[in-house]
Amino acid sequence: IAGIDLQAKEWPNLIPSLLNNMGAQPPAPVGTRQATLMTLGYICEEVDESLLSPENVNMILTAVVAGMGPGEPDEPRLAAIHALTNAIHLAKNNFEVENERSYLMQVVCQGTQATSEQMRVAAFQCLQNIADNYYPKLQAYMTELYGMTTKAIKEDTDEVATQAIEFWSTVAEYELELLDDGKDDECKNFIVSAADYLLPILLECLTKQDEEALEDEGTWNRAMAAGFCVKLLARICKDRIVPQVMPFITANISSPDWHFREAATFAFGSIMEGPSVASLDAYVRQGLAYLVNALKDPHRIVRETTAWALGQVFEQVHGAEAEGAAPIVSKEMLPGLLNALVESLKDEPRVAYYVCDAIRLLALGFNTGDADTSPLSPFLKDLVQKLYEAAEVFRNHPSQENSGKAQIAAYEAINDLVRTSARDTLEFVGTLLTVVLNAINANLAVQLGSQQAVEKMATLQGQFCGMLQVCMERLCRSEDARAALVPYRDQIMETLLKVLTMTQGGAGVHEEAMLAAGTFTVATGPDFDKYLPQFMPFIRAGLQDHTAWQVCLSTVGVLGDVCRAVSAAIWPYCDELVSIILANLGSPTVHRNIKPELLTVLGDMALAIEGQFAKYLDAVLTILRQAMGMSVQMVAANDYDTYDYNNLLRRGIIDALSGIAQGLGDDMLKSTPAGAASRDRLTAELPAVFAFVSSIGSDKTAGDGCYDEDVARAAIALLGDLCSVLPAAGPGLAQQPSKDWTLLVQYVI
Amino acid sequence: MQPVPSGAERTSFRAIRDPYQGYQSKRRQDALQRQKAARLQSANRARTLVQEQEQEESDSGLDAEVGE
Repeated sequence: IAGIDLQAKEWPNLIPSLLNNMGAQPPAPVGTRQATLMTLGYICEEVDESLLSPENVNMILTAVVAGMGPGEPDEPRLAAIHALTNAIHLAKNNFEVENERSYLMQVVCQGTQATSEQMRVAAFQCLQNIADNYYPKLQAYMTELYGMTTKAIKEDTDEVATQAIEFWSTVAEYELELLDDGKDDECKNFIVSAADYLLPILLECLTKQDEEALEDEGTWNRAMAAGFCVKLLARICKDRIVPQVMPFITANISSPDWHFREAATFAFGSIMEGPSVASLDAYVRQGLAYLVNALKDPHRIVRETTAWALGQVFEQVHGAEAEGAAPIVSKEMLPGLLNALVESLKDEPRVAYYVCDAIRLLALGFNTGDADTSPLSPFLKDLVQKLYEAAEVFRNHPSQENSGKAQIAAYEAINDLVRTSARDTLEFVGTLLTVVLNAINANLAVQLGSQQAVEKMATLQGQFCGMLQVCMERLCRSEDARAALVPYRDQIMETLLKVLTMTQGGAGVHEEAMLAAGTFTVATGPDFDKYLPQFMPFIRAGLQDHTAWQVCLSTVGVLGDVCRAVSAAIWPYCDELVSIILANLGSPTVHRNIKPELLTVLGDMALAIEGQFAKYLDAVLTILRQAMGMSVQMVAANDYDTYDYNNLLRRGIIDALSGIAQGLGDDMLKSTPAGAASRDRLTAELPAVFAFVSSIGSDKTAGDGCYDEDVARAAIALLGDLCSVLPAAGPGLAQQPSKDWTLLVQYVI
Repeated sequence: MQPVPSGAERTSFRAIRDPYQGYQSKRRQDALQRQKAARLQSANRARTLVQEQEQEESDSGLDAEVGE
C-alpha cells in the first residue's frame, strides 16, 4: 500500500509517523518498535528511491541504526538489521561521507558479533549488500572484514559461516563483472589478495558436507557456499590457483572417508574454469583415469560429484588444447572412458543425470563440423542406443526422484551427439530419425487419463520433436544426406501435423513441432508446396496465438522458412498472412519481441513473391515509417535500456526494406507499370530511410562509435540495395543533410 | 522480507537443474541462427542477380557504343 500511495503522493505522513514511533518518549512498546522497523524495511525494499528525499533516508537510517543498539531486545534489533539491509541501496550519500560510512560499517560489524545467531546471519547478509552496492568504498575496512568473516567461517554455526562465505562470493562476483567488462582499473583485487589465506579455509569447508542437505535442493550450507566461492576464485585467480588447490586434492582424493574424497573431487572440478588449459594439462591427464575409476566409488555422492567433475573437464579443457598438443581425451582412452560412462547410466538418476551431461560435453569437445569422421564415430550408435535405453528406464520409473530430469539429460546428450556427428555416421542419424518418428506416432496413440499425464506426454513429445529437428538439421548439412531424407518426407510432415493437431498440454510441444517443421522446409525446399494446404492453418493459428508469444515468435520464423522454400507458391496465402501480420504489428497486446520478427518476415515474403508484393507496398511502408520513427526517437532518448530492443527493431526494419527492394527490384528496374509505381512509392520513403540509417550512425547509447555489428552491416547493405534499384537513391543519399550514415561505413570497413 | 536472496538463487549451482527449458531455448536459438543465415544467403543471391543484370546492361551498352 505504501508503494502505491507514496507513488501517488497520497500518504505524506507515513514516514514521519513511523519515525515518531521510533523516537517517542517514553519509548513505544517493543512490539510497536519491532513492527515499525519491519515496516520501514519493507518500504525501503519496495519503494522507488526517487520517492524518498535525502532527509527521509537520513531519518530512516538514523531510526534503524538506533533500533540496532545493544540496549534493544533481540526482536527489534533483528528487524532493524533487516531494515538496514533493505535501506543500504538508499544510503548513497551517507556512504560518500567517511564518518557516516564508517559509523554504518561499525554498526553492521558489531552485529556480526551479536550473541543472537539470527542477528549474526543478518549482519553478514547486510555486509553482502554493502559489498554489492559500495564495493569501491570497502578498501579501508577489508582487514577487519577479512578477520571477521574467516573467524565466522571457521568457528561459527553453519548458517553464519555460510553467510560469511557469501560475503566473499559477492565480492568475487563484483570483481568478475568488472574484469569481464574490461574495467580492470576499477578492480581492487581483494580476491587475489585474500586468496592465499581464504582458499585453505574454503577447501576445509568443502569437507563439511551434509548428506541430507545434498539430497534437498532447497538448502544452502557452508560446504555448498564454499564450493561456489572456490569456483569464483578459480575464475579470478586463474593459473595461480592450480598449485594452491592441487595439494588438497592429492591429499584427500583417496581418503577412506567419503567426505574427503568428495571434497577433493569437487575441488578438482571447480578449478577447471579459469586457469589456462596449459596449467591444467598435466593434472587433467593424470586425473582423468582416476575419475573414471571413481565412477564406481561406493558412495553415491562421490559418484555424482565425479560425473559432474568429468563434465567440467570435458566442458573446459577437452577440445581446448593448444594447437599441436595431444588431445586430453585420446583415442586410446575412449573405449574405457565410454564404457565407464555407459555403465554409470544405470546408476541412480542423480548420478546418471551428470553422466549424460558429461557425455554431452564430451561430444561437444569433439565437434568436427561436417568432417568425414570423428573419434566418436565408432561408438556413436552404441552410445545413442544406451542413452535411449536409459531414458526409457527413467521414463518407466517416474516415481524415482529426479528420473524426469535424467530422462531429459539422456535425450539431450543424444541431441548433442547427433549435432557433432561426422559424415561417416549420417546413415545412423537417418535411422535414428525413423526411430524418433515411430516413437512420436506410438505416443500419439496412447490414451491419456489425467491432466498430469497429458502434460507429461506433451513434454515427451516436445523432446522427440526437438530430436527430430536436430536429426533433420544434421542431415541437411550434407547434400547427399538431405537426398536420403526424400523417402521419409511424407511421414515426417504427417507426424508433425498430427502432433500439432492432437497434442494438448502446453505451448512447448507446439513450439518444438513448429521449429521441426521449419527445419523440414530446408530438407524439402520447393517441394514443401505440397504440404502448404495442410500446414498453413497452423501458421495462421500460430501467428494469432499472442498468449503463447514464443509459439507466435517461432511461427513467424517458420513462415520465413516456408517463404524461402516455396517462393512464389506462398502467394495464394499472402492476403490473409499480410493482413494478420499488419494487425499484429498494430496491436498493443502483441508481445513487443515479436514485432521486429514480423517486420523481417514481410521482407521474406517480398523476396518470395517478388512483384506481387506491390499490392501490399503502401500498407507495409506506412507501418515501416512508424517503426523507423520509433527507432529514431529511441536514439534521441539516449536510454541504454532500449538499446538492445532498438537493435532488434532496426534489424526487422532493415530486413523488411531490403526484402522489398530486392523482391520488387526486377520490376522496378524494368520499369513495368507496376514497377514504376512501386519505384515512386519506395522513392517517397527515401528521406525517412536515410534519416533512420543516419540515426543508427549517430546512436551514442552504447558509447561513441559502438554499434551492433550486424545492424551496422545490414544498414549499409540496405543503402546499397536501395541505390541498386532506385535511381534517386544515390543522389538523395549524397544530398542528405546528416552524414552520420558514413560512420557506419567507416565502422564496417 | 528476503534481504539477500543470493544464497537461494545459487542452489542451482550444485543441485540438479530442470534442463528442458535451457535445451529448448538452444533449439530456438539454433533455428534463429539458421534462419538468419538463410535470409542473408537469399539476399546475397538477389544482390548478385541485380549486379549481373546491371553488368549485362552495361556490357550491351558498351557493345552498342563500340558498334557505333
